[in-house]
Amino acid sequence: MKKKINSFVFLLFVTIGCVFAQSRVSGIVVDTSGDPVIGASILIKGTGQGTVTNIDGEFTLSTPNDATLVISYVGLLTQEVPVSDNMRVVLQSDSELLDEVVVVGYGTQRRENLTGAVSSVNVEDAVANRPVTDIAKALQGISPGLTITNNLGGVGTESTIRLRGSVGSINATGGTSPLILVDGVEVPSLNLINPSDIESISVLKDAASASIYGTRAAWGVILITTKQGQEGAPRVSYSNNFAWNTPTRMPELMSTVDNAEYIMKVMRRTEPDRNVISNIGYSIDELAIEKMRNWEQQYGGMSQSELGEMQLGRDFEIRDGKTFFYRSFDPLEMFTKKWTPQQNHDFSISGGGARTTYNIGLGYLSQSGVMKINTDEYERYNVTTNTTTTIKDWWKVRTNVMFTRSNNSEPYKFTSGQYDAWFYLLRWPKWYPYETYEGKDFRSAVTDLKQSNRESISTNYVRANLGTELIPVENLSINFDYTFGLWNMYQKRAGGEVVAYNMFAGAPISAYESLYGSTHNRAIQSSRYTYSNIFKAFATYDFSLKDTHNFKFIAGVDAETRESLGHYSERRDLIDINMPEIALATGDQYVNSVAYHNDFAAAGVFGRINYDYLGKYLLEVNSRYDGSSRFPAGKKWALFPSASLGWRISEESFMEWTKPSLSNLMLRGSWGTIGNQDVAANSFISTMSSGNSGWVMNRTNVLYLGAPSVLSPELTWERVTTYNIGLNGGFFNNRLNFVADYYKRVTSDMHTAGEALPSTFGANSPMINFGELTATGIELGVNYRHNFSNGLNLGLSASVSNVKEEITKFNEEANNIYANYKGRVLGEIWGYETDRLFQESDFNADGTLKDGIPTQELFESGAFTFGPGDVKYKDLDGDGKISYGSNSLEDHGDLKIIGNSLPRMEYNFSVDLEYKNFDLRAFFQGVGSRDFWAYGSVAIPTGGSGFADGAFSHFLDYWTPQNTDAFYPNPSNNAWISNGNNFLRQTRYLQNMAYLRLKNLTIGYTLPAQWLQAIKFQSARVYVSGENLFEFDNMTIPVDPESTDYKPGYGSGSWSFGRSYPFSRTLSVGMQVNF
Amino acid sequence: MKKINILIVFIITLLLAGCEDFLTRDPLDSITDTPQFWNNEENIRTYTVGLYDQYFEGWRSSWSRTDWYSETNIADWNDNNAQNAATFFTRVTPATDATNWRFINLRRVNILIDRASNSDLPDEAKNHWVGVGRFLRALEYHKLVSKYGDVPWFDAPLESNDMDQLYKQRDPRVTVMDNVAADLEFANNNIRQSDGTAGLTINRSVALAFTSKVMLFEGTWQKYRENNTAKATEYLKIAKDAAAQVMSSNKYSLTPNFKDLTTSISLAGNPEIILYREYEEGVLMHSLMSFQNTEFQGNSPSRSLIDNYLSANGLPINQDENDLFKGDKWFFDEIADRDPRLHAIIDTDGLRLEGVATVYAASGYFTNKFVNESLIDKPGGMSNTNITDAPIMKLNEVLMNYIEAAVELADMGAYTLTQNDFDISINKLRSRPSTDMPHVTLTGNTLSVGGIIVSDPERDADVSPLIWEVRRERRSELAYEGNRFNDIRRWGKLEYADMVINPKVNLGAWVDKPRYVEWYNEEFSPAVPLTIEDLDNIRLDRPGDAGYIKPISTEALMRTYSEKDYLYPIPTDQITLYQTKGVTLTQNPGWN
Repeated sequence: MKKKINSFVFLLFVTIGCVFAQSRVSGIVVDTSGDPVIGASILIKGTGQGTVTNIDGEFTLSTPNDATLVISYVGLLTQEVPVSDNMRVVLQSDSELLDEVVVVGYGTQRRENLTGAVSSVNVEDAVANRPVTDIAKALQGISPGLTITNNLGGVGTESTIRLRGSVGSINATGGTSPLILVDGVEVPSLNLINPSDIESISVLKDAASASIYGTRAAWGVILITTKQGQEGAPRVSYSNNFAWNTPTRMPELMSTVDNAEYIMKVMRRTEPDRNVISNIGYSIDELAIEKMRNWEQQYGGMSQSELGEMQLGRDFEIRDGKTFFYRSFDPLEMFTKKWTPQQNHDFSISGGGARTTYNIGLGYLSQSGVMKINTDEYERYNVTTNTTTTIKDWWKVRTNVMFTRSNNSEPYKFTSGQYDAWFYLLRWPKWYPYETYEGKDFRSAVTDLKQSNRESISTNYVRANLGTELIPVENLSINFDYTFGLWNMYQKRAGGEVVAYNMFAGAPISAYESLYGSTHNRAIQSSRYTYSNIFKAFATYDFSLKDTHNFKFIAGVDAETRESLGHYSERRDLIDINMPEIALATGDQYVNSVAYHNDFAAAGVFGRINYDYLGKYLLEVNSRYDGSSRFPAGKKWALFPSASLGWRISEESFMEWTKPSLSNLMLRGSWGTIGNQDVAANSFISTMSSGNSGWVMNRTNVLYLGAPSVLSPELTWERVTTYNIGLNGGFFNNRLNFVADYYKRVTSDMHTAGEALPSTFGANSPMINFGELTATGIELGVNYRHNFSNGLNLGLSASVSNVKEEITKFNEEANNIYANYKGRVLGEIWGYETDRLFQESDFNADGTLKDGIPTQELFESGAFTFGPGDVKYKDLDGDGKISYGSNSLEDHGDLKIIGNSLPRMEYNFSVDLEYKNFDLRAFFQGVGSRDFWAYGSVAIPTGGSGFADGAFSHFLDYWTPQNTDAFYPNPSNNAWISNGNNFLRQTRYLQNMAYLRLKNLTIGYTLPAQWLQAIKFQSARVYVSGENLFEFDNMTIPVDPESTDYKPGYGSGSWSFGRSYPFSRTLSVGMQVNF
Repeated sequence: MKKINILIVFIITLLLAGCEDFLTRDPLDSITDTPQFWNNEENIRTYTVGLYDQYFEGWRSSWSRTDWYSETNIADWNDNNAQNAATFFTRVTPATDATNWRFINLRRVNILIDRASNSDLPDEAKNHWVGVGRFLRALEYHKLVSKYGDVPWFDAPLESNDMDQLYKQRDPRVTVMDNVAADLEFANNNIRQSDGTAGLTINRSVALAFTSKVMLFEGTWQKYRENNTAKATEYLKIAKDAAAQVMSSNKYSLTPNFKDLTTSISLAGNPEIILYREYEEGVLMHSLMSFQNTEFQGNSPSRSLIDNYLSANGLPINQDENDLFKGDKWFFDEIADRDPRLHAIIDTDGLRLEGVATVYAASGYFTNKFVNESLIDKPGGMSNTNITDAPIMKLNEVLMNYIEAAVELADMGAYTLTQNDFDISINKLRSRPSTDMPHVTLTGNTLSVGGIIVSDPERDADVSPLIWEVRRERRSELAYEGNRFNDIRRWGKLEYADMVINPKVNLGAWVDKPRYVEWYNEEFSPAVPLTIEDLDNIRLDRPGDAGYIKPISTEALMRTYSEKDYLYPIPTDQITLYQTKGVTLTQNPGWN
């Protein structure tokens, strides 16, 4: 509608404007408090001509008499006004958002009329001015209720996005995520979107606002729209950013001497008589410790390059058939970069004439990995084009094409599923030999990197949308959209071989050999595809009765299909290792069972009615009849209604007295139910999985079919019902705003394992609709903006949200505390309360515990018994022994809930300052509470394989008869132990992951318009920015407080906790110019 | 305008009408359980092959280990290995136990039997596949019974709402084993004589061979643990008959070289192999050889195992008449003129001692039963990329099952032994060219070799001389093949695995340190001569510089056994769950 008027004005201007003569106009630009706006840009619409206001806010300009002026200033809303004599233009502050139009499902809504829980993101602040590589990272902490966790460092990694709770439905593997729609269509990953292309982001949080999207919107919707062309002369803008990343924190290995002593202590716990210990080719004994000490004194000050190659006798020696290493290395220092570069460039052109507008965006991003050798590289290219053509007054056609290509290239991994180099650089002690001996490498993660070929994953996403809008009569618009999407991931791996002294074979300088065998001499190609077709048709009609009853109707249908398939192929024996192509390999060929193929369809009919009476009482009713192929015949369709109500209290006559302080006050409430089809595939058909049987015949791993899955015939939709109550308010001409929401979301008829069945059943209990999960939460947001008369503009905002998810109904009588049960608060961690460390005085001379001290023998084994310096747990139930009872709610012995692993009380606040041409923004983000029981040897001093893994400096404060007040217990072997011996889950070593972090600090300078005119720029801004500059936290181990996940590796990936790709601090500079 | 409205109505109508079809998306990459699927024999074969690695694990794959040699309970809880750190029988009743108290495979097998029975295949094919299913069910119940004793018997896949069956009490051991015997009988009458790739597919001989193994276990268990002579006799007869059928079929014969059975890159075509598991570079590889090649042996042959091997004259080493044995105080004396099968399981170049060898052994004896010399320094013999094939059932085990069943039956008066029984079993094994040991002669209630009655002064007084020697032969022939733990259990002799009662479990080679150092320096003339101090870490069983290696010196760290260790404990979560239904799932004796 608005566009139509614009075109009309523009047409008018073109046809009539040229007839009239030019004249001079003058005027003044002020803000809402009447203060002059200095340096505001005044442009004659449709031309590049213009001026800026002077120190008194005044301007003069030659224009055609009927021209329209576009007046803009940073932080204030841009206005268009027709020229007149002695103009006075009042620019509204950006914060006066009430008139803002918010994108909602299938349309837009004036903010003041919103009755659902919808928040819109200030794209300018959150995305545009920050050196962010994907939007997800920028959204962290921006919108209350939206939880973004970047569990993992590293280039091109995905963030986890959760809205109003982490779990949603316990049957949804990996948790439930909101539906992410870009221009109305789902995208596979936010990483595919170029942040610069974004025009607006809305978050639909309650069922009432999300339900129009049906089943996949059960966990809310993030609506992203991309930039559309604006009528006028072509506007070209370019922005760039150059950034440097450095790890926030990394663990540090103990010195060689400390580590060796530590290992000897661990060994003597179980084998007091033993004097020497060997592991993967290195050995330690007392003499070696002495020699390490000597080495440190003599050569410790020299650099590795000064020391050169490994020298027998100096750096290592062979005694009794064993190899002892003395030289000290710092692998992180040697092989990782302190700062890794990153850059992105964005270029866009937009504009348009009376009938056609367009926007073209190009983006490029590159990131480089942390290793010095053969490092990871990530690149992304984006192209987005939007065009809209008005064919007739009543007929528009639009197209939108988006293309993204990313490429992630890294060294070939010789052992699939193995951890990456980080793990191994931090796994072995500092004496592990990283230098060559007689020109030959020792086996190490670095040697692998040095000698390996590359493998890469590229992702291509292309999406084409064709849409049309018909306006047959006033106030009725009918839209049709069709979108085709193709997502493709293509992996290419080029094998090879690694030749080194094979440490692991136990004979460091005799076995110089190929480490991984000839099977790695191969080329691998695998690919995945997802095709989607999306069709939407909807009509909008609005009208008013006597200007008091306002109606808006929407009705529509949509349908979608999505087909995914993947394959893997491999061929051995390359003709030329540098040409790793399947066509150029001569050996055996393999296809892998990761091949898959599936198909999905969904369709729905929906409608919405908005009604308001005098803008005071607002009502919205939605309904959707939704169908999904995930469900069996007869159960494919279900009706999901929702409604919301709003009452603008401030518009009531009895509230007159509050004016003008109270600008706005609205109470709203909503209720809605959405079906969740986010359930496991083939939940309704008894299928037999297939795979490799492990039985080889004729050199082939024979395919097998597994047992048919067990189904419950009754299974149907899960339902998600949300109740939401909210209050919005604005004071002092909306300079101070707040929004508050309280909600309760009940996931009912949850697919849960039916009644627990005994093992004799021989399969998992079939799923039934029974469980119920209730999430309750609050969200509060406040912002304040003030423009001081001296030109200083201040903006403050803060928000906080909290959510708790609890199982309110569950089909389980055993009440096992480690499984789901009624009353379980999701994320809870059961463990023991730590009393203290045992001291020598707790034991009798024969090593038994003194009377009255609770026994911990339940946790003892042949290899471990508790002694002085070990952890003493609290006997909470007072029965004289530490035990877990039967691990059930009724009988959990000394166990109690010691924490919760899900984030609570997430909060953020930001400060914006603008003065003259300078702007500053500081954005803090934090999590009020979160606990984590970490595994792996950064969190738990392990001993490791053969007791002899590397140990970390932060464990040095361990118990000895002299250091009885230590934090860590007497060293013992906890290799691969996550919950045993001294490290049963307990309060003492539970990590408190709460933090407050300066997420972003940006300081910008907008070049004065006068300077720019000379070089024909419209505007230009330069800035410096820092991400994650500092934080406050309570970590007792050197791991970033946001790091709660692991790089997958074999066995349990959790062992690499703290030894995987680090989180980064980022410093960057950038510029944004328009011309 | 009107046209557009019509268009909208049309589209909506079309969509709704076609919706049920539009929304029907059957799985594209998984098979649906339909009767048609089971009417195809090849489909049943594809389903069945998924069960092979569950019952015929061979050497498993990658770093995962099976009961061969060491590092699983069954492999370790016996007297074959001296251990650096003792492995203990389960000490506490576990809260959950999804690896032992497990019915997942039973369900898979019962589905096979159910679906194959109801298929429209011709009778011959149907009976074959039902037979295969019942054979696998017998193996499954054998496993469950051997661990738990009484277990609930199910002969069909359970429905999730059949509470009576799901919470059924444990059936008496004998009831279950009678059912197992019936399953095996059906299998032995109906499984095809040959089917699929020979040596890699279940056929009649495979079923018969396993029948001898399962029924020997249960027969001796009934005899020694339950004192049920009637059932012992019945089961042992089945064992003996099944073994005899395999032997008389003449399909299999002994391979000339004993060690080829456990070290061959390919076992295809080996005449002794009844069933084996194929390993192939890059397709499926294991790590068993690595543990006897490049890895330090924390578990290695015990004094008990070494002493088991006869002298080359066929006499026990400590028998008075044995003038061939030179004593065990010097390794090369000790292994001289012994049963060649001893040479096939240990490194005969010398002891591998801590302080001397990089890859050493806890007991000094370094076992290499699974080492293929040609792969020793190749990826196929190292790490988790070993490529030697795993024997799963072989004729030599069938022969030993036969003779043991025969002597046990004779012991109960249910059978009369003849010289022929020994000629077709032990003497056949001893005629194997690589073994070449003197034949035994049945002499009254004993065996004699070259006219001398075999009489071992170390014999367990509970065991008759005849049975003692048959058990010895079994141990010599089948060492490290995952049988020993079950053997000593079924004989009621778990005490053999007790390091206090049977000190030989915790002893290794005799080491005379000065003599060894002198020999070593003379033999190898190392640049840096070996010294006695280098051997400081070797712990001996007595003060001074000479004695048997004794890996564990503290009694508290030694493994002991008690009566309850014969059966596994039932996990408590199951007992609790049954209680919620008012059903008592009884725990095994001694566990609570």
